[in-house]
Amino acid sequence: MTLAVLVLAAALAAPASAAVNRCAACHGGIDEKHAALVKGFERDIHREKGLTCAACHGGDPTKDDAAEAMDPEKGFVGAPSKADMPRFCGKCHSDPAAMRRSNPSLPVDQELKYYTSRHGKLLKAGDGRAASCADCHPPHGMRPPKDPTSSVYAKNIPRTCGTCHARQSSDYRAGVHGVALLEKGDTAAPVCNTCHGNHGATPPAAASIAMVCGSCHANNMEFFKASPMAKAWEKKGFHACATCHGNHAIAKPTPELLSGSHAVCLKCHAPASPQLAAAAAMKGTLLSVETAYASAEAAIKDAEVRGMDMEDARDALGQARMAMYQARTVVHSFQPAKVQEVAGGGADLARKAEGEARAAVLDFRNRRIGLGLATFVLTFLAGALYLRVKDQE
Amino acid sequence: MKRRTFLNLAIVSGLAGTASALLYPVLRYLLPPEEAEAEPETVKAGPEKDFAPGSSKILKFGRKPVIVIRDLAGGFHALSATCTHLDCIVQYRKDRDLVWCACHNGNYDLSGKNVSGPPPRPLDRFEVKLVGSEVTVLRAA
Amino acid sequence: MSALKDAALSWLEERLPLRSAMEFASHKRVPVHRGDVFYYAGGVCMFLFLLQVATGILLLMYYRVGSDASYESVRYISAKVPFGWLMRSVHSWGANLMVLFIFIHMFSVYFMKAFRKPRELTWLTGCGLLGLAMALGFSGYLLPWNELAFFATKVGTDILGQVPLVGHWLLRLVRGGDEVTGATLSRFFGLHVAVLPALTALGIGAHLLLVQVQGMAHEHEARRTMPFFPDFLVRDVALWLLVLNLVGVLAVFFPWEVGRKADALGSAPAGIKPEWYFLAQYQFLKLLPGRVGMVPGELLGIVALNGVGVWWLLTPFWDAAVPERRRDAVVRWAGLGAITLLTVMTVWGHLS
Repeated sequence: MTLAVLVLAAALAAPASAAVNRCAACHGGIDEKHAALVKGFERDIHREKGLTCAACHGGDPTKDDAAEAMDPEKGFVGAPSKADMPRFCGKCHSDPAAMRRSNPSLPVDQELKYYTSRHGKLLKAGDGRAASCADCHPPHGMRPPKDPTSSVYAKNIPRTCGTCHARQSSDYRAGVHGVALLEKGDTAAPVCNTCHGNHGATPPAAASIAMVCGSCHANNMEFFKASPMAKAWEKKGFHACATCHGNHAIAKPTPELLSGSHAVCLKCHAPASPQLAAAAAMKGTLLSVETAYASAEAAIKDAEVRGMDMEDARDALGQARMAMYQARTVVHSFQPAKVQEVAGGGADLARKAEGEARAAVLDFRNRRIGLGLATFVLTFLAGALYLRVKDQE
Repeated sequence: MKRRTFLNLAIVSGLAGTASALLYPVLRYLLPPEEAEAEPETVKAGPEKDFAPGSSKILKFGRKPVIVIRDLAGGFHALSATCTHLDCIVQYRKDRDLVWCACHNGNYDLSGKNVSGPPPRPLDRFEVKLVGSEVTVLRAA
Repeated sequence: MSALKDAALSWLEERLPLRSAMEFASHKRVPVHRGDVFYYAGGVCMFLFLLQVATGILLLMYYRVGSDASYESVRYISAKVPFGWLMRSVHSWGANLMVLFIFIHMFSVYFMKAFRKPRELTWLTGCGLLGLAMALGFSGYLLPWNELAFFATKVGTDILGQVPLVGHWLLRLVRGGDEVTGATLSRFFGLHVAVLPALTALGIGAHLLLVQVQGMAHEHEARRTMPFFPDFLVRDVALWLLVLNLVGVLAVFFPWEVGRKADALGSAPAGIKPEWYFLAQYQFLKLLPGRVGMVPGELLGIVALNGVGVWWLLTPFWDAAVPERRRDAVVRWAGLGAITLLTVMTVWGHLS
């Protein structure tokens, strides 16, 4: 009965001229799981591009009879196995002619890339746990990456990859990039696929890490490559950036990385070496600009609490902050004098901002003193006038 | 009689004091401050000959830093110099004829459009006019 | 010395009826009684108006009008011009105190029944001056072109659009367009610095002339009086100095903020409210349901508010129509009712 109603409903709903699609009529009524698939497909990107069930699954959607509709002779393939998935999707996605019809700007190398990825290699070797297409792009409801509800929207990628890579995902969330993306909402911050690639996902090789990080941290990479450290790193087979900064849980770098008990330099250099002394000098320089910055910021806040306009001081403080960031970048050249030059300028700006803030607080006090004086004079005159007129009476 | 003389004296000095308490702020107020008003309509960037093709200069337009660029073909451009990603100050890269932010490798073309890297938005544009031989930056209409 | 003074006075007298004016003033007497402190309220209003004119002219030296200049110039005045913060804060606080003292003056006149014949015209001009002061406050509030001012003006002028038939026309007239824009700012500026102050000055002139011509109410019933000149006037001046102190203290300890620049596309800041002297009316309008029967609630509210205003304005006339033995009681209860309602609505508006 239910089936009959559904068939009728589907028949009525189907436009007479357009390609008839009877699949939903039966599959929507099998059980809840199938109903959800049919329902989910309604907002699938493929449907929006005009594709129907048969476009992927084959068969004859015009037939009411199940055997006729899902006849392998008519190209019916059903649900693909995991191992068959890349080819299943690749029917269109690897075919420039097919893609030109629905989305000409989309590349057609996903399948090719997939088989170069760790996922693809494991799958080919028969590892059933390796992710294939549908693990990252849940079918029947798939959305393009720019859609915030998509499983591959930037902010959702840590969760999608985290389904299998739970430890890396939670490390990432704790690191600077995860915080920038997920807490500060900076969708320009890198996420899993920015460093690992997406369809060709693979751990970056030691040599390519500098390149990967350097695609955003360009200056850090330039300085590092030009420094004497680069050759030694290469010889030892170190990961250029990760050796000091780690990988997924990249912490906000502090001057403590340079010297002291947490110093990463100690991995190679002896505590009493001249190299460690240079590192300690850079640490001292960074700490002093940071101190000047924090002190200026506190002074400005102090003045702002009193209602003073601190726009100019904030401008100078903003420039000091830029210089502070630049000084941290210059550390990657491992030349204390260069760091000192940049940081010193920043500290000067911070001191200038602090001076303005202190002057504003002083001005604030002077206003009260001036008010006190004026109030006294005015009250004195008022009293004298009152007494004088009383006296006259 | 003595009391009255005292009170008269008190009133005269009180009047003098009140007059100065009122006039001092007013006179100080009327003398214009050294620093001209922020947020002007136009800013002079210097004589044209200071801008060789492929050079740039950062100046302040009110509170905002603005980068004035003379491209390799000799055209002038003025853009907000604050990167739209995390507020770093951008620079002109003569070698690529692009505006570049060193902080995270963001690139803008000379019309301010963000073309690669993290910047989420284009840079605000300003107008450049030559007044005589003086390069002048104007708020874009 | 005194011969010189006499010569100067007679020189003037030949050109101005100065002596007769002084003679006239010397006869003016002020009743002395328990409530005579309220006689000073009117003088304080006038002093505050003069203070507004003085600080207003000073602010005009740096203020520039325009949606791309007003906020910047006010910020410049507050941050960069020496004592600019003081001028602006004194102007803002002075405006609020002026409205407050007008209310005190008005209610004291009301309860002393000083509006009765022959002083109906004094009452009417006084009510007109209250309206002008509120209009000055409303138009001046927009001039810094900050977020709060922008949205307060938007909401405040929206109400005009509800007036039947001419509402849309009225709205466009006041805003200088369909929206609150730089055009509105120009209009409000013109009203605030030229039209309204001129009308207020004329109004104050008429108001004072009437007071001089008619003398103080109850002057003849009072057991004791004091001469207006110099006894009362010197006390007046002494009080003005104290009021100036109060304005100074408020300006230094509670400086007026510049806020953030108005952004027509930005969302309205939370908890936006009109100035306190519009709060009671605002709260009343907020309480009304969307529709009452066939009529939109807001329209009904506007009609009701205008009705109350007209009723208040016509006090001297309906008062005269009440039978004499009940007259004082009716006036007292009506006044107490008005004060209570105004206070409750204002406090409610402030808290909600």
